[in-house]
Amino acid sequence: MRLNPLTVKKLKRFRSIRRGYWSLIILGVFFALTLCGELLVNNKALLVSYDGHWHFPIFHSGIYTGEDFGLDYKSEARYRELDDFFERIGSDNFVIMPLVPYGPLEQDFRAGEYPPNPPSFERQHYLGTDSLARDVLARLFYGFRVAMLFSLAFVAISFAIGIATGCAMGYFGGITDLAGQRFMEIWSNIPLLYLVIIMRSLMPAGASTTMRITTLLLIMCAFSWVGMAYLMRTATYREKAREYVDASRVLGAGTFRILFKHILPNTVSIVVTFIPFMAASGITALTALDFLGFGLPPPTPSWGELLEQGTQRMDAPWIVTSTFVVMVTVLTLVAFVGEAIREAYDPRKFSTYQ
Amino acid sequence: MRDYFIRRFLLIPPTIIGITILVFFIARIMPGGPLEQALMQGQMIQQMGEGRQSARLGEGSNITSRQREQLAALYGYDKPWYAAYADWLGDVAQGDLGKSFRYQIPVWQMIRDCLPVSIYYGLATLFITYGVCIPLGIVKAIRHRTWMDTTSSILVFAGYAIPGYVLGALLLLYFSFDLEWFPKRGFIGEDFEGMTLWSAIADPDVSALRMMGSLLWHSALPLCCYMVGSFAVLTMLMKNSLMDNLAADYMRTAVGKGMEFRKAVVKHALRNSLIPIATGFGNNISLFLTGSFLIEKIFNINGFGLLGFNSVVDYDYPVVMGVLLLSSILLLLGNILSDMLVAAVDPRIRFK
Amino acid sequence: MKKSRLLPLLRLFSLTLAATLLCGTALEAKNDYGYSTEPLNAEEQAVIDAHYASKPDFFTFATPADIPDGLDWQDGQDEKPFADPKAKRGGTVRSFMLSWPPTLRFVGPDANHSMRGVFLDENKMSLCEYHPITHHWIPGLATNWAVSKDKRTVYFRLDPDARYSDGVPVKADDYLYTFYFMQSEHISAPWYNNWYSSSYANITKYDDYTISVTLPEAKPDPVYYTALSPTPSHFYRVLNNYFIEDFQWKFEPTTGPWELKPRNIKHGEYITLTRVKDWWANDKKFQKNRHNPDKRKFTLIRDYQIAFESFKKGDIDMFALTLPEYWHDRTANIEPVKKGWIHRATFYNDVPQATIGLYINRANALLADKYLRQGIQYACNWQKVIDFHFRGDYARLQGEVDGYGEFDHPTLRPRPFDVTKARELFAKAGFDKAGPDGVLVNAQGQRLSFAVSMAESPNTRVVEILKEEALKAGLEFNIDVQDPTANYKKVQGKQHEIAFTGWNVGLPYPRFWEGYHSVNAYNPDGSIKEQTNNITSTADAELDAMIDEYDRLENVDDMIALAHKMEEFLYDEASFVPGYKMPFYRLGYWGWMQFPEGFDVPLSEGPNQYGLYWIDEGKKKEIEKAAKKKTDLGESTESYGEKPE
Repeated sequence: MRLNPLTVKKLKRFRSIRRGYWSLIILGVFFALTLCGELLVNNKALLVSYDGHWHFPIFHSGIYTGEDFGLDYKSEARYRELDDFFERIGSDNFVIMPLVPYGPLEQDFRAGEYPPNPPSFERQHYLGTDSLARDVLARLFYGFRVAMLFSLAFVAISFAIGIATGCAMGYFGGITDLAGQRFMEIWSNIPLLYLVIIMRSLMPAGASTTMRITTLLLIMCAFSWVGMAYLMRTATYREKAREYVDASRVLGAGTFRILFKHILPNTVSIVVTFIPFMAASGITALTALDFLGFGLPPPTPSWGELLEQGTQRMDAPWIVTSTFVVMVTVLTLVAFVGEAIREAYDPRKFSTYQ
Repeated sequence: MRDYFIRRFLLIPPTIIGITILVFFIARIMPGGPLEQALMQGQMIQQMGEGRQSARLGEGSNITSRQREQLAALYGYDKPWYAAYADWLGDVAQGDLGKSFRYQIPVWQMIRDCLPVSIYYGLATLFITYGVCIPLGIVKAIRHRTWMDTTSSILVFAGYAIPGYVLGALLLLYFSFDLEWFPKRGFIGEDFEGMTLWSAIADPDVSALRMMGSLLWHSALPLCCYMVGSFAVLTMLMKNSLMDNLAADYMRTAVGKGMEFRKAVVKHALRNSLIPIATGFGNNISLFLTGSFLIEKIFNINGFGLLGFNSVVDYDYPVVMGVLLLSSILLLLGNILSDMLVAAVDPRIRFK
Repeated sequence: MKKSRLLPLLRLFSLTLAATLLCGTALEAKNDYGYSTEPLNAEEQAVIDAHYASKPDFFTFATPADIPDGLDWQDGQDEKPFADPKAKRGGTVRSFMLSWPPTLRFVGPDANHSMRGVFLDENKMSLCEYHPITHHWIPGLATNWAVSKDKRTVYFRLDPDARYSDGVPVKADDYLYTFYFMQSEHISAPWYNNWYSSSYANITKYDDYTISVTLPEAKPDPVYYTALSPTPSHFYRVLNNYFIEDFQWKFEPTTGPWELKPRNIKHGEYITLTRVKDWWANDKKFQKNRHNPDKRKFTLIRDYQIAFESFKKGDIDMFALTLPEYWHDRTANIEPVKKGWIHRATFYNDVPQATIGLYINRANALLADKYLRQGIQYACNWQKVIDFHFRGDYARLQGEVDGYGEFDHPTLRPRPFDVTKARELFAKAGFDKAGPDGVLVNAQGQRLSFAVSMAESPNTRVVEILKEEALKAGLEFNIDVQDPTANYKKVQGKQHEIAFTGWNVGLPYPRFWEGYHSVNAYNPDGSIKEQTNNITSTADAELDAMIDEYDRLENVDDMIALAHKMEEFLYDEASFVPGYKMPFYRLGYWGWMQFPEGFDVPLSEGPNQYGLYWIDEGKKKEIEKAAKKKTDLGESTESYGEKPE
């Protein structure tokens, strides 16, 4: 693939802005880790060696029941117990667990103890547990994945709508523009929380978790595209007035060609600079909704839910502290990336007089 | 230009009608509403309280459809939604926002009651934010990529990332309850209750300064929470816009000509870079009225945000509509004001 | 000359003026309630009389001679008072409320808010009251009462001392007025309209201080239903269309110990109840030494955490510590408790238990299978919920009926968590293979997965635990959380699969008709009947017959026998998975709050219900001093009442 030399220059410039570049690297690595998170943070074993056969529960399409490993239950094998069991009876069988041997939904209640429990290296609850004895690290980890995926989808969808509407308004102008503006003015005044509540009450009892999350995503997107549309509208107006557009029209280019070949590529800087800020606002909005209990359906791991628990349980500071630190770190990194991208796209904005 | 703004003003009413009609419609199609709430409460009478009458719980719980209709009529649900909307609009045109379903108080009175507090917090946030962000943005622009820029960026972005509502709980617990540095509740000290600023100035016994002090002391923590997230955007805007102008040709010329850098910044760059800041100012009009209800709840502030939130969760639709009406009018006015400011400060821009 | 003659006149005039003004203020001071305490005038009385006349069978006016002879008049004076004679009068109890009450009205829209009980219900005395230890009747607003032979009518002699908080005496007319009031459409409370129209057959006034109330059918203990509360006619007068608005913020004069004066409301800040001056029942045998403080101040604190912190600081006197985390974590190790400034108490009470649990909707095709429902019973690990989430403090609810003494089934116990049995029963219902995620599937490929609908509350954690555990039995629960009204609409429309909810139940006997009779499940045309308590859609002819008979019985022993039979039937049907119960209340209180030796009475659900506590001002100074100087007074964490096995 050959990159446009201009783009290469921008990339180079981005790399030279160290703060933003490293922030992006850190975020990327984090995200990549969570994408293959099942290998790192999971209550399923990486490998079970049983009677000479190797089993890879994580890659197995179904589940291994306790009976598959000579235990007496038909539900999914409890691998940490299995590990202890093999060790106790001193057999050749063994289990290799992931780094953090807990799932985000798994409740690790222990007799005589009441969650939330403080961090413990011995038990591999590195950040302690929450009020339901779930591992805080596992929930933060998967919560990050959920938040990132959610906000990437959020950015993609709201940009798609925003760019399409904005371009159409700017390009066609006239009545389209006027109607679009009125609609956007009306639309952006509807309280989001209101629609989220309504969405929840319209949900049929049997709706799956995926469906609930998707609906929430769509509702949030339905409101977030307006800002983008305004920006694109102005940008399209500006580009449309340029000579090269007239020139290509004279040459017989159709509307679509002009839009996709000429106008869109020239407005890409606006789009790109707004991605990180949009992503950050996606994360904060989701967290706030979760905090209020209007967000992701339980028991989906989420930062907002952890924050809510943390503020309710000030006597268990490890919940609120770890969530707080992770959240602030991630959002700060995102903000740095955004700042760097903006600078890379607009070199003019930096001169010093010394 | 004048025509443009007149047209903008004329467009306000249809837009407002669009907004309210949509929200009104949505409220109607919602499966749970004031009627269900009343029915639920009614059945609770059988289920819960009522002392010993609850003994025969539920036996009276099946009300007839006529009784149900009568209840529905209380909430205007006896008419189709468009007729109910027309009624509402007609009342609004006569200056009547209706009465709260829940409190039976005129909606306007409820809104008016929380205006002083909301305006105070809105104004204070505005002044402090601008007061901090503009100098900070200037320093950051001039000292771009120094340690000072980096640390202040981290702080500002961290502030942006901290949810104000979480910070509120932490601040209150620590500073008000543990250390007792700040009062736990209230908008102003009890000595000053029921006083307007004017009567305080007129009254020689109460110094207006002391009153202001009390007010600030009471509102310090909530203000922190309101502001913590608002620094980032404005600071970065200021910084970027100043950097823009620092890089502009006229600055090069000025400095090249031998003008002192400091003087050049103040005389040329600064003034021009305040333009985008000024244009954003109009949008702040609605900011007065959109406090965060979570912060208001924690600090027990009877503000506009809490009013709006409670009305939504309580299905108090007349209040929902009233709050919506006021906030959308302000938002639309703010948008126009922004454009006017843009036109005023930058003569190159012409609206058609 | 003229002038001099005018002067004294002028002086006289001004004197009269001053006198009038003085009298005026004096009058106002006497009645600062903002309404007339005059009895109804002839015009008003005529309107109300017309209502009485329109229902001549319901409202009867008779003479004392019409009271039948040979009635067995009771006065309850053999019962022992239950308040502590050591109690001292005075002081202010500081409490909080989480939201501002939407109205001070007793009935009508939004009247059933969380503060109504404290402000109004607990302040409304009734003709007779229930002795909270012996469960016998004791006098309230009546001094004597007698039950007719046919157990339908109860006669009451009113206490001539009884006064409303505004000083107006309580007379027979106010009991008749109660029906005028409660049957009126103006109050916009159809449930009250229905209750007061259909649950009573007649009220008769014999003289100003004697009435009788008749029920439509005989009841084992008719006093229970006929012990009415009076409604102050001088306050409400003739009702009209503006009732809801007019009375939104007016506080009804009470017969109980507390009243709320307009000047004690600071909107959005606090509401203070004050003790009625020279309350008429101050020295009555069963009211003496109760309701001791002078004032009860309720400050608005919208955040529960902040309220708790205020309690820890001593700005609030008492705080319910019923939630296990507040008892075990939040208060167990804090300085004020460790050093004995705040005391803590668990009081084991003895009240009918709300039926909290999972209600399985049999209208659902899969859930119509009895084996499947029984399997669900075994797949619910309530013990784990109780052991961990509720710290082993709560107990398993025993079934549909729990806490009714002999009505509780002697041997039936809820099914324990048992994966093997659950899987066996699921297999019987056709779910015998495990799917790729461990959830069972049947031959048609349907997954054993159900939505558990519930209203938004901290209790989602309960269902989250059940969900994790049920998976071990191959059953999946999807948690369907909604805001309360949407959830209510779904469950009342019987659109749920499984609902997690609870019904508060009342004395004196367990009820089956509302929850399990087929008329509350389906309409005659076979469609689903909405808005009933039968949310399991139970419809069974055999059970219907038993319920009908149960409601006709007049003998308690027969009722108990039949109730046990029905409980067995319902156990087998397995549509209700019994959850948990809370056999106590827990309280944290600052050391100056004093309680009787036994702390409270068995029927009590909170310290304010019977108002047996008092404030020791001397001790208050002592403890405040100790708290300032950090003196250790020794921890006090006690348990009272009888702990159930």
